Amino acid sequence: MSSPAGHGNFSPQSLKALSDIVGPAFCRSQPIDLELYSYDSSPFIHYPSVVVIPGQVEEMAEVVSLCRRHGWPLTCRGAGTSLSGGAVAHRGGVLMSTTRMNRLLEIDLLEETALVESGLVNLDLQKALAPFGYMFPPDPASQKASTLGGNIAENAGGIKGVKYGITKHHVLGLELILDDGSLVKTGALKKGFEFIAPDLTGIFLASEGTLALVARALLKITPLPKSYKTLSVVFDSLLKSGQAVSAIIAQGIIPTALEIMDRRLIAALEDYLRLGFPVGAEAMLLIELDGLGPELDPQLAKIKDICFRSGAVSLEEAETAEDREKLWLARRSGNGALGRIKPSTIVQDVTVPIVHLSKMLSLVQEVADRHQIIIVQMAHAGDGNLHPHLLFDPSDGQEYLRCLKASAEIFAAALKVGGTITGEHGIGLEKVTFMTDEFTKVELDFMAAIKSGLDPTGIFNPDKVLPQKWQAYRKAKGS
Amino acid sequence: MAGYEEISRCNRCGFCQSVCPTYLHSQDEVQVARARIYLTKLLIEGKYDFTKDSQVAKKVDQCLLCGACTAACPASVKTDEIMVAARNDFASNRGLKLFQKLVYRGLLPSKDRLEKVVALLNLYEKSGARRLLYGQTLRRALDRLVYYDSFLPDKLSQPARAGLASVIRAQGQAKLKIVYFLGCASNVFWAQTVRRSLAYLAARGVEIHLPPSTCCGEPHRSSGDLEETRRLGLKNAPLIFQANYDFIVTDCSTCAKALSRYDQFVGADSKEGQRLRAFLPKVLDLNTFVVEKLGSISANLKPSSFSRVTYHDPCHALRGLGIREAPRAILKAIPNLEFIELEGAEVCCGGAGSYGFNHPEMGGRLAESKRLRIAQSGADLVSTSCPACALQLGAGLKRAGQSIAMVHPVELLAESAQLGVFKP
Repeated sequence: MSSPAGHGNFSPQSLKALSDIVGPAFCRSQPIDLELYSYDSSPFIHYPSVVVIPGQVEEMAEVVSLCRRHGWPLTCRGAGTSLSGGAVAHRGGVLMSTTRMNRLLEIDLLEETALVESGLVNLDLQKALAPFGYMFPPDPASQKASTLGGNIAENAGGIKGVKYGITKHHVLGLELILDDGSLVKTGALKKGFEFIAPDLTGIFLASEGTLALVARALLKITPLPKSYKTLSVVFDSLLKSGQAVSAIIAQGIIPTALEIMDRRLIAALEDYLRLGFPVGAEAMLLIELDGLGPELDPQLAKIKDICFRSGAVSLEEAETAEDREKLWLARRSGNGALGRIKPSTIVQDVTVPIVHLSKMLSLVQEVADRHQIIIVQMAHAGDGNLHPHLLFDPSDGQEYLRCLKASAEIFAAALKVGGTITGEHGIGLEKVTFMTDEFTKVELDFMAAIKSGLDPTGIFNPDKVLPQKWQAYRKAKGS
Repeated sequence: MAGYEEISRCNRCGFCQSVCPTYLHSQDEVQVARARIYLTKLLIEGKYDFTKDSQVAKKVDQCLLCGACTAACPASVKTDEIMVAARNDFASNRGLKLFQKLVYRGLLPSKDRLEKVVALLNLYEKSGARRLLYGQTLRRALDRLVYYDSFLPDKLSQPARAGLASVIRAQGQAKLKIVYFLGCASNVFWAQTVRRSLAYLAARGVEIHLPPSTCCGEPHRSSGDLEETRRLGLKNAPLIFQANYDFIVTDCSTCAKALSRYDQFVGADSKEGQRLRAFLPKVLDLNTFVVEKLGSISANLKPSSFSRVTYHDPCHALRGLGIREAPRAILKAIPNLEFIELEGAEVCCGGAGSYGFNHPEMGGRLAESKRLRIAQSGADLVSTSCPACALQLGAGLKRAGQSIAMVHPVELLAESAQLGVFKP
């Protein structure tokens, strides 16, 4: 059993330098504290040497600059809900938590923007916007806990992605901390003040904290819809539910959400929430439309028709706002609820062109059968984003290995049909070795060039995203 | 230690961060349910030893046992039960802590001793020592003492049990016969609440039996002293779980939650545990009993002298027993009194038995947060159904130099029905 390295190579002077910046209460180096910052929501466990929890942008910047000067690895995290190992300190060093950087600085209704600190929790922003009739559309299932900085770092999607897009479509500008501790702005932090210059904001979306740290962000906010229609549709096979999704999209209807859940997930969620889900049904499709109101009924009629023609067994419309909320609570609880079946999960988020959705769902099931593991399937089906959950018991090493093999086959299958290995959970540690399958050498060289330009000594979240061969620290050390 | 299976259902999704009060008030991941569960897992696996590492025990002690995480957990992991098991392990391996020995074992099981301490506290108040404490010179040096003192009500009265007969006859024909389980904190700190509630019940045709019961055992259970929990359970059970009572009623949410699972207190598989299981559905908290068993509550009520009331949900009532509507129904029934929902009514106040007292920093922060919410509500009266919550809320207000009336819903109902003072 491995243990926290304790102070590792951190001398008392180094610890004092860090604690002088953030304050002693927010600088941790006791083994037990390091233990409790060694994990995220993925199976990866790695111990930081020291944890800092800064409360101001200036403190964040000072810590970064100190890390650069000493060559300490620096992993920045929000709520620690990464599903790909993005938030663990793979090389030890400094782990920075942004949970205290949780201020909502400004809501501008005229410009429809919100200026936030990176540690603000997604749902807390939603709650603050709702009374004004606004929302921030990206709504990852983890929105109760996950921070906006984390959402940006992973380019999180969410249930509403089909209609509203994902995080990158709603970020107008960033204030970043570069590796020497200096602060720069990309895009605009005040709407209408965009620079006439290349907007570099995009490269930091899904950069997983490997290029710079996000201190503040200006987000585009969107008026809440006036009206919703929500359907739960039961199918006797996963395949048919996938076909229904492809058919709906092919008809040119863009629902807000199209979510597939399989038999095991339905049962686990029913066990948790007792909503009267059809335990035993093979698949359920949750569909939501939103808009002004009158236009929804004809769309709804069309969708119902498509569902029945695709072989729906039954169909139910949520009557009240409360019923609707419960359905979405159920969907968002999917990941955690699977703890009822087995203690650990590898969640994949391969994304494929929508025409291949059904085929991909079947392929995943075949992979599960072949490796004799349980794969629970859910999917943000409307944008082709699958979420196969590979379940395992950590005490069964063989089962874990079978899950890893199965994951590799799922990646290969997705790439084969023109998809990607990750739609929103990030590469992290988990998918690093598969980057060469998805990207050419030239593309990886291009990413590495950006990485070494911004972080030449490789302090930011080392070993994530780019395979070893392309990591900046290798170059810095002349290897 | 029990509960490994419970622990392994946690897959660290992090949803507990959205509700865990100690996390929300520290923004520190070591103070959240998933960390506590992970830590316990490491303890069971033998990686850490709490007898050698005081940091481990401290982290397990920091849990409020409020149950908010379990309610929000997609895998329904019972962190509170896991923490109790861990604390029991500490207690049996390392021995009881001083507070457990002095207060939980020494005071609570003995009504006599508890009441003597209250008499001493009375002396402290009347002698002027208390005023001295609040004097400027000593104040700075004695911050901690002032913190402790803030938990004491302004005026201590005689314990509720003093002068009460063991049976209180119903006015008119007795419709129901109940055991009124008098908790330790209600007895000494909520005497007026108890007297008013009893007056109300008697007037509504309830025959009330007050057996010489002792502490319910919940403070001992939550601090991991399962041995004493069982001893107290076995002492109380024969007194209260008897076939000739229609219901077992208590004004304290903590006692109500404890009694409703008393089979586990005395040992679920034991003979006594099996005997009393049939009686458990008869345990009702006072609000539920009044709303569900006494018929209409709204007849003959006079307008309240207060204008706005708000309500704080005790963890043991809301998540422990699923009680939400009954206390609100009572408060809404009082004429001329506007009920205002307290923002965050469901969040633990930090009282959590003796938590507020023993953890001044976190307890103080949680109390202050409640105080601000109460101020926001604009209420001139606060209601709750747990004496420990009332002490904690009162302490928070007092430290901010404020005071606001605090009542049990049924106490208010009694006042409104003009049954305010109970004469035995």
